Amino acid sequence: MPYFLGYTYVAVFLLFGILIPVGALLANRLLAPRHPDPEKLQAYECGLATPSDNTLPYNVRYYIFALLFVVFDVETIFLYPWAVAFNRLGLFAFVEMIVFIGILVVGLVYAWKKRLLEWL
Amino acid sequence: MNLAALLPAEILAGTALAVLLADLFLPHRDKAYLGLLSAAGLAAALGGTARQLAAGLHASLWGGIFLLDPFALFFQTIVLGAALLVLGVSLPYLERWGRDDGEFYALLLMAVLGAMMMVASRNFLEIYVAMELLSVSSYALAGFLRPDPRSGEAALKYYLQGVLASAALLYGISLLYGLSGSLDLSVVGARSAGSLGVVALVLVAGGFALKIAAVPFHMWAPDTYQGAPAPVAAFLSTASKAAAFAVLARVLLTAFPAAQGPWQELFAVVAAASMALGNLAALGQRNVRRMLAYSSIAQGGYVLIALAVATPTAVAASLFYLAVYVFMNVGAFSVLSFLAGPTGGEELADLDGLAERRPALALALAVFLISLAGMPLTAGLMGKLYLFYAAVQGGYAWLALWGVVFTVVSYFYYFRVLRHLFWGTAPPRPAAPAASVPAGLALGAATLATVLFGVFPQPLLQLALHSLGMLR
Repeated sequence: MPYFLGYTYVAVFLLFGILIPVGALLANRLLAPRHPDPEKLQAYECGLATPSDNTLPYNVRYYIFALLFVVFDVETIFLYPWAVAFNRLGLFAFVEMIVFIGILVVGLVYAWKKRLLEWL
Repeated sequence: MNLAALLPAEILAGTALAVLLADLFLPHRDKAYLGLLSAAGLAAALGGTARQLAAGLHASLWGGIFLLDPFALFFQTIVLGAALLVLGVSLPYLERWGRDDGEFYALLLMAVLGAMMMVASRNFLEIYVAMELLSVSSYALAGFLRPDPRSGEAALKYYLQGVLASAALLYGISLLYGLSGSLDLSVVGARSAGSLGVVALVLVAGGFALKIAAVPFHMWAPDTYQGAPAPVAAFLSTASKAAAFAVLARVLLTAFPAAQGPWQELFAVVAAASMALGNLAALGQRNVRRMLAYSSIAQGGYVLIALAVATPTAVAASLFYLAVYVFMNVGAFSVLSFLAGPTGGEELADLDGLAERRPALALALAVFLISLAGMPLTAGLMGKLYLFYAAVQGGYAWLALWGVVFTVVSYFYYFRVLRHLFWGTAPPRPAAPAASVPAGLALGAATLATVLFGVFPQPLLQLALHSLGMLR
């Protein structure tokens, strides 16, 4: 049973995770003065006057950049613990990580040669 | 030890990366070498795996994450063999479509790598990662004929339902992890008894059932098999299906023997529904590729009888059936890939009088269809015989009877194709392109194996029984 007691923490975290944002929004609703007008209801776009609706179709190229970004973002997540424990892991982990980075580099070369890194 | 045992998979991964890189730097006229390089990599991996199988390797790798036992090696051999046949057929097919660059081969090799790792995993996380490698590569392969909107449709439908299945699988795995505190197949089952464990098991089974295209997770199959490149349809309906079946069998038999009663009932219903729906829906199809798609749903149903019966004989029979099914189904899809061009050519009427125009192709297609139907002197009959016999032995006589009834129903649509092949009057039409050497080799090997295992089924059956012996 002690294993399942560990889930009490999860339940408590969940409870607070729900309470805090809901409480903040509720307090805001109760305390803040509200004087809406059309200008204020616009989508916020860097403080400039909003030129158009915010439900535009986006260029599909953003998707590729996002994908490439995620690949190398995840790579860093793997690299940090590896670097911290580097002294204790020895040669095998070093070679392992070189192989992993090598595979990612092949992906980068592929994207480069396919001209995905350029804004055409 | 670990690295040496995984050498076939390493060869495959290396070849895939090499092909992907070489594709970027080779001029277009030299791209044919990429296909040959891929074939060499696949053949080397197949040779290595077959040697391990013959040597009876039984090794637990990386602290039990991978288990290379005869069961895994048997399925790895099936998958690699199917991929080699598919590759041989792809070479002329892609050339005709003008899509013969290295990407296809690299994707195919990665899909095969995923399937190989999947059947050898004994850890849910590793199973999931390997299955995603297989799935993501398959989605891209299904949509590979970019100018053809139907290929895009095939990829999108497969992708959307595939993600849903992945989500179900992942949710099931997370429930099992919550219940048992482990992802190891040898521990999970014992610690996750109770109703929540059953829910988790159903979710996990649903995730794999989509890959097998079993009812009620079959909806993607007809559209995907019809729209995807024909060799890819061949790969999805054989290698991908076999790999998912292998994992499902391993999960159920090694991790959940305690819950055997409930999942036997579940798979009896799924198998019966797949046989009925697949065979009945195939009756109305005019497009031969779509007909084969429904037929492959039904074939999945026959194989799933093994999980309903769950005796060693039944599971060995399913191993035999999946092995010979590779030859007949890849073969049937391949013949269609020769005939069809960008303008179609896969309707029943297009096959009229093929025996006069291309006697060798017509004969090969006839052999594959007769075997799928389960006629004497073909491997298909022996496979069905073993499965139904095991079902009767295991107390599921009604399921065997159900299978026999729908086998008879299936004669109608398989033999209708034969009528068009041999007795149809050929309209004048441009001759189909000549088959190339690798494609001819692949097709010849598939035809030969279909007949050979029909006449001499014993060695393969012995191998299947032996592979199973060490599963538990």
